[in-house]
Amino acid sequence: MNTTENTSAATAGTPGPAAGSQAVSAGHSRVPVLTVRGLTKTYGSGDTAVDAVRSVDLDVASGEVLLVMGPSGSGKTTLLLMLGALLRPTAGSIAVTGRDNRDVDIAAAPEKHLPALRSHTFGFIFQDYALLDALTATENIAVAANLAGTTGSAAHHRATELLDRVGLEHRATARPSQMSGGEQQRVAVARALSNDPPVLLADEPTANLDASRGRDLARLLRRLADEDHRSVVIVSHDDRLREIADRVLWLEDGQFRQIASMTIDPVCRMSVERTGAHLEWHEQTIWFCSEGCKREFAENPDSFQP
Amino acid sequence: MKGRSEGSVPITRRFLINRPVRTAAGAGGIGLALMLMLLLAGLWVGVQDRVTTYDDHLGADLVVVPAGTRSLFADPGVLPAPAVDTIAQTPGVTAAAPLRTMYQILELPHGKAAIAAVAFDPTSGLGGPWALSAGRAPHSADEVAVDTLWADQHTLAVGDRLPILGHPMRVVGLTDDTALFMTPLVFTTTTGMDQMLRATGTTGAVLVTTSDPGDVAERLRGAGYTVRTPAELHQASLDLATDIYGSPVRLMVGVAFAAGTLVVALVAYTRVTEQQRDLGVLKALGATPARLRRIAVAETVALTVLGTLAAVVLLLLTRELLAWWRPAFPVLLTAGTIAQTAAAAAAMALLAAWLPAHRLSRLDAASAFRSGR
Repeated sequence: MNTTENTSAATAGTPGPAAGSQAVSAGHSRVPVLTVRGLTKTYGSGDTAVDAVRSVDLDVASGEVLLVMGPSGSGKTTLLLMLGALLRPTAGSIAVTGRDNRDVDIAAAPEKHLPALRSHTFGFIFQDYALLDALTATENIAVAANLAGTTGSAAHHRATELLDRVGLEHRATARPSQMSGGEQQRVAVARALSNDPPVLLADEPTANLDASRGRDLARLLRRLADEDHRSVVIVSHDDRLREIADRVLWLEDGQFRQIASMTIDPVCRMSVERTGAHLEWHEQTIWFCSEGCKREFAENPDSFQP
Repeated sequence: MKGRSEGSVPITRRFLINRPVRTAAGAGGIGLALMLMLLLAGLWVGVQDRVTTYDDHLGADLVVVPAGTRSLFADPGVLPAPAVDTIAQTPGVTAAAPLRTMYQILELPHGKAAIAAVAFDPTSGLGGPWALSAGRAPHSADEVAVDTLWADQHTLAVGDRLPILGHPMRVVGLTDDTALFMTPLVFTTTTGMDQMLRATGTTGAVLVTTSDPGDVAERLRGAGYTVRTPAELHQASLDLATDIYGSPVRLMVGVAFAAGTLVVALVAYTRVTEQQRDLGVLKALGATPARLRRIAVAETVALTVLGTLAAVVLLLLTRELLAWWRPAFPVLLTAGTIAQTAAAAAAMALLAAWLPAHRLSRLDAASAFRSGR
């Protein structure tokens, strides 16, 4: 696996027109599963039009873990929704290669084909787990298998197998309300795998987990990419996920920026650009996301690790 | 993707079981609305049964009435008393007996009370009481037999005096199955009624028994009489009741149906709104709008079925309560009534499910990603 800085330095996407192909070639010789070109999402029209995502190019290879970071409102979730066929782009294309090696342009697919595309091509992992409270762990997984066309004992068997894989076979009959956050997220991961999708899309998967469980989940996602040659696209603020990512892309104002110029705010641990609030400390320039973090650091610098 | 495949996780059932209190409350609300419909329908059947009870127990094969009379109680008229003997002598007639009916308002110690008075000829056995809970049928001019329920209501017993048109009649019997819808039947003799009305020389109608009703009716009509069969009188009473009470009852049933539909719709809509997150997750996972609509419709139909069962239980309880509190208002359930209510419930469920199903068609799958933010 490439280190984050090196990889991201080589793979940051747009506005460079060749960023997408760079992304694939930088350490991954495998064929791209997701190929995004000129992806744009505009909300509103006329004077009130807002570009949430602007002409993004992106390639994601089989078995690759891609981490998309960025400040709130940068367009991360909008990008993920478009990749997962949950939101129609205003312009651009999203070609995805299914398990049957057929390419489909999600952006151009008719509305009635989208449910089947979602259930066969993507596995979704949500920030708040999004498990159905009325169903047991097994049923939560089996219902996703049902939607992909696997029913009856086959779906049940698949669910049991996946629970075993995420280490929760002993929680098969538990309901979400009876499980910890970490357990729920692992069930959510198992559910995302129920249709054996080539692409996993995860929205802030560690946001509600403590450090230990967050790390466990990160390792699990890495393992799924390595063992199954699955592409994993993660949208997150969580810096810990850099450890498992092949590439880290920084999205801001709907566009990818060069992440090489980014650094970590030692107070909130967010990635920040080397502009704005900063101070000199022990002959280093420390950059912050805001004046608040800078002040907090200045009051007690020893309690933070730059 | 397959539609509702066999062996799929039973999502609707799980949704219903997951929140049993809410499911019970929803079914209870629907049950109350349906029970109101069933109650009104049952009361209407009860009214129809009550208003025809005397017509059904006349004991006669034909009834000769004054010209233009359709109903024994609603169209008072008179025939000359000698008509009884004339009719009795008509070939084919086995027996003929006078009958007089009238509505009357009585002044009782507890207030005014309306009755339907029937004067019959005790020697003929026609037109008199057909079931007694106490005492006997009246024989002499100052005797009456009154409805048991009405007697209980007015604390009357055998041996008491009941003033009618200034005549202190003596209660000699308590009759069963003689409560009309709004008025009880009070039986007396034609002699007694003639004295009360000071109307000797006339009668209200003539009850006729015969083994050949068709021919006898033709003969009597040929002699210038107006003849009705008990079935015609039964129908006339029903028509009259429908004319008087039908519109308000239909209006009430209509209001109950509308209210029931609204209740079902509200319950269904509330549940879908509560489950919007879960349904959004299912849509994000690949559920088609049609599948989500099926979930909403199935849940609404299941709640309506549960509500219908609750309605039957509630109705049985209400009927018992009503029988104890107001025994003169029977609630009769027929297969037709239940079938009509079940059809109404199905119509309600389908109407009510439309709104949430329509809403689900527009459900944003991306909402699953945004929930909890």
